[in-house]
Amino acid sequence: MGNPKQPVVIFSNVFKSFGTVQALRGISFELLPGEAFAILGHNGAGKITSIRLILGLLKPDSGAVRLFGHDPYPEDELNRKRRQHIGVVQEEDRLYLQMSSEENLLFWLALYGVQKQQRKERAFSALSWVGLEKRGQGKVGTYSKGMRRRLAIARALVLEPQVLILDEPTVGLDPEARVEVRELLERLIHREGLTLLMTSHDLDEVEKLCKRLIVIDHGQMSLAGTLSELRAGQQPELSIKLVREGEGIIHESLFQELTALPFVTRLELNGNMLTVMLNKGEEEFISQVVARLAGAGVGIAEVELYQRSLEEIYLQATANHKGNSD
Amino acid sequence: MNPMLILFRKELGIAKRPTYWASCLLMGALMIWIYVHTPIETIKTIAQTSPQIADYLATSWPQMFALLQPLWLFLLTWLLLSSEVFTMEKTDGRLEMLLTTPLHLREIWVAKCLALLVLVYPYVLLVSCLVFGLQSYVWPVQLGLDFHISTVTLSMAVCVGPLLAFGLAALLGLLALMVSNANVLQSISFFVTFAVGFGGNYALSALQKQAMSNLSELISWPVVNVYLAIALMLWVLILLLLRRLDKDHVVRYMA
Repeated sequence: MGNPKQPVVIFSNVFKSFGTVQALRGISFELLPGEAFAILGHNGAGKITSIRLILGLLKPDSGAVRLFGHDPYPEDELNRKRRQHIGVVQEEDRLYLQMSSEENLLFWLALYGVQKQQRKERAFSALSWVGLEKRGQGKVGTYSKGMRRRLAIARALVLEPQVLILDEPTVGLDPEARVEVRELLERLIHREGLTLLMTSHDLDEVEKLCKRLIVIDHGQMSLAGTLSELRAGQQPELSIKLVREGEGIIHESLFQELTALPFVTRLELNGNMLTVMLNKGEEEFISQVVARLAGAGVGIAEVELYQRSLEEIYLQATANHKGNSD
Repeated sequence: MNPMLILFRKELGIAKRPTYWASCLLMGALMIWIYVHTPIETIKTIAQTSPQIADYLATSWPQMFALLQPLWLFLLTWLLLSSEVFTMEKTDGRLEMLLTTPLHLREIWVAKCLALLVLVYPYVLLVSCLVFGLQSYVWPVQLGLDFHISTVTLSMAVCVGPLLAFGLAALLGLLALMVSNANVLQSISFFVTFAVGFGGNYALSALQKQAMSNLSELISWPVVNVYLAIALMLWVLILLLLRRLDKDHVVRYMA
């Protein structure tokens, strides 16, 4: 569908409000073909509004939303056909509980105009994908939450979409079901090359699945980039474990000398643990710090460059953003 | 196949539910009890003292039924079914999922309304035929009175009453999509319909006893025309609202 290098989704300076509430304020991002992308943010930040805009369920107040290069909102034949290329899994599974899982999928396939002779085969194949082929005739109302979520994913996959949009795919699931769903998504991204856009509060999951992300806070974008870019944007933190501990282990003059280095922003000694904060992007000076310590006869047991987790980056971004807005 | 037709067929699946059949049986039995069985004793008692009044009652009872009950029965059955078809579909978010499919919002409304019409109208028709059929079969035997039903009464019961009810019901279906709290609308509609049905029946009975000469012709062509005019106005209103039906407006009120 369209140019393989063209972004699947383009969000360009999008504003959307509901009455007096401004849900989105100037959000811009692009979703590229074959990538796994996450929209993060607290409840009410504007994640669902963004997804609804991509799906053409809402109309932006200003700015532009493009799906496969076109405005997804108008109810025209072009958009009717385009919807076949998008699989959607919402936070609540939104399945027909009185129907069996097979009936749910057959109904969905029929809505998309799939030929009758192909429907059974595709439904079975999607159920096999999510490991529900043996429970195909069972009423969905009797399923566990994990099974329902897997069926919701099967319903999205049965269309053989190019893009899969997931809203909180593992929320409310027990740890076992969470792992099952995550493994399923990993298979889809890595083996099937599906383009994936997801929202989640589980930052571990996002870290495992997605390469690029944005953080929305109160409708505004507070962070955007790939995980490595976001980490690079953080101040490198060096943890140096010293052989000995106690007062005077680092001489006052050495301490001052290290603090005065242009690439060092902060120096802290706790017990035998020396923490050195460096300027952004100046990791190459780590060796100089270590050499000066060694030169002064300070015994070093271990050196570790601390990598901030996505959770820490996220919390810092939302806190900074909150501080700026206040 | 057209997706609208697929949705229409899916909604017809409600007919498989025991709750649908139980509601239909219960309300049908209630109608037969009120309009076939109960009048027998009343008319019999009155006939002993005043055969003329008994004659009048035998004529007016089917008219009372035709004036209000098909409309009431249609709306009440519709509202029972529409809680799942319209309200829960919206509040549970399945409507939002349907909007991500090739279906358009207006098509969803049309498919749902047509499915409910197919489920409700034959039932109302069946109850009307049963009531009139039993009246014409049982009353002459039990009461020794001639039973005849006029064309205007019959057309009111099987055609004009349900047509007006369908207009009202379709409007409620449309409003359920448009308003922010579809559950409240559903509950209010149900209780108002319930109260109007029972209250109207009671009021008509009271009127019938107090002013029988004026009510000898409860249903006449002018009354039918009023029903038709209201139905027409409702459809004009529906068409106007349909022009304003906007996906953005509907989705923004979803959780």
